[in-house]
Amino acid sequence: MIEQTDTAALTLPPNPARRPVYEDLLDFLRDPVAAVAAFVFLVIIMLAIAAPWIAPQNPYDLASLNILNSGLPPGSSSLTGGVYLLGTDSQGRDLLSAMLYGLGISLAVPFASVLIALVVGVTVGLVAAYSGGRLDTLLMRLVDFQLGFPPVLLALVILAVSGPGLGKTTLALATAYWAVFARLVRGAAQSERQKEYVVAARCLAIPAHRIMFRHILPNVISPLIVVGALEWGACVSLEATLSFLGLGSPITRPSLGMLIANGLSYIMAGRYWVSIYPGILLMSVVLCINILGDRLRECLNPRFKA
Amino acid sequence: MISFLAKRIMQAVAVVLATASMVFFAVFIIGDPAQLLYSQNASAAEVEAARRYLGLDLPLYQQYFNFMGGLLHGDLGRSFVYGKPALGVILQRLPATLELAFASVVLAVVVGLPLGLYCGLNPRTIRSRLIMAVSALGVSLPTFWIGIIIMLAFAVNLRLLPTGGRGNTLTVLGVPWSFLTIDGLRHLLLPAASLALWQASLILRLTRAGTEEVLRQDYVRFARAKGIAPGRILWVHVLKNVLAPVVTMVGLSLGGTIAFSIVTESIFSWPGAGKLLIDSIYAFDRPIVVAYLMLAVTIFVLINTFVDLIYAAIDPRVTLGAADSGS
Repeated sequence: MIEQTDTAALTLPPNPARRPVYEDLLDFLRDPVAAVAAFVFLVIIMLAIAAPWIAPQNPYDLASLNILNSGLPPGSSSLTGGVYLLGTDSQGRDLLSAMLYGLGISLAVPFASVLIALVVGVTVGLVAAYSGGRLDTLLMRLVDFQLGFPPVLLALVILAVSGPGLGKTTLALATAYWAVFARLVRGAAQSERQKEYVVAARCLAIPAHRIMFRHILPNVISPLIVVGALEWGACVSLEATLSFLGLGSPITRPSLGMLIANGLSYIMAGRYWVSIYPGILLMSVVLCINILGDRLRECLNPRFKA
Repeated sequence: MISFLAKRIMQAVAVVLATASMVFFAVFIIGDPAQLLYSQNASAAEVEAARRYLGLDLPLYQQYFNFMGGLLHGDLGRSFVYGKPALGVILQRLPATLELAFASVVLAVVVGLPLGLYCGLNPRTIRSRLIMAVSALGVSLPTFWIGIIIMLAFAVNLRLLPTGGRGNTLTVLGVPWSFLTIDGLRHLLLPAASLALWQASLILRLTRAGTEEVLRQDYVRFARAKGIAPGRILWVHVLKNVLAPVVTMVGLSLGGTIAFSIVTESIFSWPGAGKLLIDSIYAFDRPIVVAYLMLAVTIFVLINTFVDLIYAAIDPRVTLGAADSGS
């Protein structure tokens, strides 16, 4: 959807495509569940960004860790003074600090991979739809082939071969998800291709790449935004799963999934907090993204509006 | 029908062979397993002997042909850790995984289908809204987190069920099965439930959406006007039309279940192929990883073909030729 900010739109009769942004936002937040999710998600994002300033401890600074502090329950005080609000993990890290830093990784790595997947998928989808013929068949066979595999397995295998790491995880996740975007864009673009404006653009001898990216792409953008948002949620979940298995984020920079895994052996011993608090945070992140994505679909898809 | 089958089998073989090549180049080029397997103290001569023993000293194309040739004979190399044929090691563990996957699919259908019908028939009630809210959780939460929560609640806090393992098994046809003993069933319940939650939620949502749509159709209204008993309308007219996408979903989610069982098996120490895969990744046991992948590809291709066939059988509008060309 293209937003236009000219003042003339305010005086015109209501036209969903030309309304000012804040009205769309109000419409979006009319659903109380979505409003709560938006608020929580905003807080989560701010916490992740502000982590270096608000975290009581730098969990990456090994010098500040003391193994004697490991496995302390929430609220205990450390050897150097200060209080571990949510207790400590097996390495003697302040759990709250580790969670705040891990939150950033858990959000940013999937976000970057969705962006990469989006760029690759959109390009492949547009090229396939626009060129048609044998290239289209070949590309879509590849997409079908890949969609036959669960993304977990694909990302898991890539990381099993390459070893853990944030960059590798980003690429593995992008590899696991690009095909979804390719199929979506190809389907949408193929129906756009028949329309008059594309035919007209071709008659004007506008170059193919310009027609694809400047003419067709803006018209297929709203399903892309919705699917992109939902895939971000799925990607956060998958990144956590991979890190939980020890294949995603490196030990030195744990994401939420790895923090949960670190606490797993403690759960049996009654030290529930090492897993539960990062888990609750992860759960909130994934739920917020999914609720907001669903609401986005309701708002952007005119079929749901009736 | 037969030409469709032949085409699909050809495609399936092509897919498996293409994957095999990709897996070969990805896995075997990236690193030298001999250096990972032998300790730092091993002398150069020892490492060299190991590489020769594993066939890693041969030129790449020869390794490739050996690999592909072995594949055609069902030989996927020997496990570095177990010293036995990799495929055999996996096949030995596969029944446990399949047992878990099928148990969770059955559980998901038994829970998801009736609840979905209920929500579709009574969309406005508080109960169906509650069910939908839980299913929203079930769809979005990562499987491993669900597994941990379920384990914490039922095994650690309430001490109702065991936390892991397969329990007592009964051997039938030379394979041990957990679902044939009470103790085995108790061990099976938690992992199966944690795997089933997202599928049950998906099935539920699909059934609900389908039911709501079908109820609005003219033929249902006509059946009502004709005075057909509500029960018959539900079970014959509605269910038949709701079922087609659900069957596809169940079939496709079986593949996802096998993939996600990697995670669930690791949490609940279920000795299946998924846990073997994770253990082998940690141990750099590449033949097992490769063999698992090839087996998984084959299973997925089989499932996809099977789903297409079932789909055609229950939905007369689908002709097999069309199902093949759709993309």
